[in-house]
Amino acid sequence: MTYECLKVERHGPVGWLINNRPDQLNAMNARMRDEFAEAWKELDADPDVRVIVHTGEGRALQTGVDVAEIATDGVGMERYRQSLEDFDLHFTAWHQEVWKPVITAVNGICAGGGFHWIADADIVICASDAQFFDPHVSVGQVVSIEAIGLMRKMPVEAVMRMAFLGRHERMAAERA
Amino acid sequence: MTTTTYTTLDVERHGPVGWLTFDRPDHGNAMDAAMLAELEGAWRELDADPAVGVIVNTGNGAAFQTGLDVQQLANDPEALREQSRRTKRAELRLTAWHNQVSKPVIAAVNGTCAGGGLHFVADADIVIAGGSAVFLDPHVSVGQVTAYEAIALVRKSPMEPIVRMALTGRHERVDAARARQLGICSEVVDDGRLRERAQELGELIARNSPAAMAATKRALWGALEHDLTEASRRGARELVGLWGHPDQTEGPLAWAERREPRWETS
Repeated sequence: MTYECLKVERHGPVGWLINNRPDQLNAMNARMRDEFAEAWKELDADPDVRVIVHTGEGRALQTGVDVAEIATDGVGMERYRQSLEDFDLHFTAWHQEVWKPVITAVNGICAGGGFHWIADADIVICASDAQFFDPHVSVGQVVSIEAIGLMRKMPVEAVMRMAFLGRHERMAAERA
Repeated sequence: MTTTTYTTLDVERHGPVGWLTFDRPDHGNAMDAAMLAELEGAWRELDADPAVGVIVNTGNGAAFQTGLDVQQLANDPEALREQSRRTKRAELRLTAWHNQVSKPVIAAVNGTCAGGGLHFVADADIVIAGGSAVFLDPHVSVGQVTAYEAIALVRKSPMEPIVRMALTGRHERVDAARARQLGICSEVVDDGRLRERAQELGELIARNSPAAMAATKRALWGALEHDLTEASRRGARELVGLWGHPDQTEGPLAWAERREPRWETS
């Protein structure tokens, strides 16, 4: 597969999956979602790859669904209804049943749907200036699957605080 | 709306924030039969008030909340019979969670939080504390079993410190700074600024969509009841369930137009 929204690389035994829509803060459009499904499987199947690192180009790791595409394509979030109702999502390592260790390296902003890749990684490291927040409820959306995953892995109060404060507060790298 | 008169609680409104304050400062805000009866009504009153977007729960005096009033239990056990029946049946109506409150709840722990007081920490969405707040669970030191409070807390924070608190009883306390390290609370402020800070957080949260927050609250608290895949499936239903609601289109529109959103009031 030729990737437009991701970079897929190998460096020794480490496979790299790099979000590559820096001008959109690596927000996920339909094309990127399809590429995720493919890229995780490709790296998981490659016998030379032992560990997978996931990170982003530019100043964000990931900022959720591409709102510009949702607002303009006439399909909107309906595009995702079936996969959500079937819980058949295909964009994280967990969704794609990757059994190699996955490290998410948070290079900058991680917002909203970006938490899917924090919740579903085995190991998470971050840059000292990384920032975490979940703006869903500030734009009239429900916080759900990614926070549910996170709550299994870290103290719940911190997840709920991010969920209810929305865009009005950011968690710093040190606290994360 | 009708205003209930409370004798053991202060129930107030400040802007969009409803305040539920324990008001038995001479008894460490311990719950006697009167307070146990009033709590249910107070949570329901604030949850039903459309002018209230967020609820803050705190205490008057040196303690936040110290659990069941042991003096009354010793002197007048008959007064607490109804409570004993509810405890046996796990039908408590003390906290926002017990009373199925749909709005975000901030616990502002102003001092000692002991034993049954931990219910209100375990069952809040957000917990902040004053610098002098301490957390302890003296149940086993007075021959009682720790159950519901600790069961809820071990779902929400690392388990070892909660079990340690349950087994060390009155002989050890967790201070506010340690509680923040453990993720039991997310913020510690000077005692004198605790209420001001809770009000600030409440006003920020009240700017978010009430409908989206109610669905979020159902999704996240519901998730504590199920395994990961089932919880995610149920969460997905809450997510999709808001599609078509006016707030779900108003939010992105307001964001694009760089203005404050106008949420639907229920």
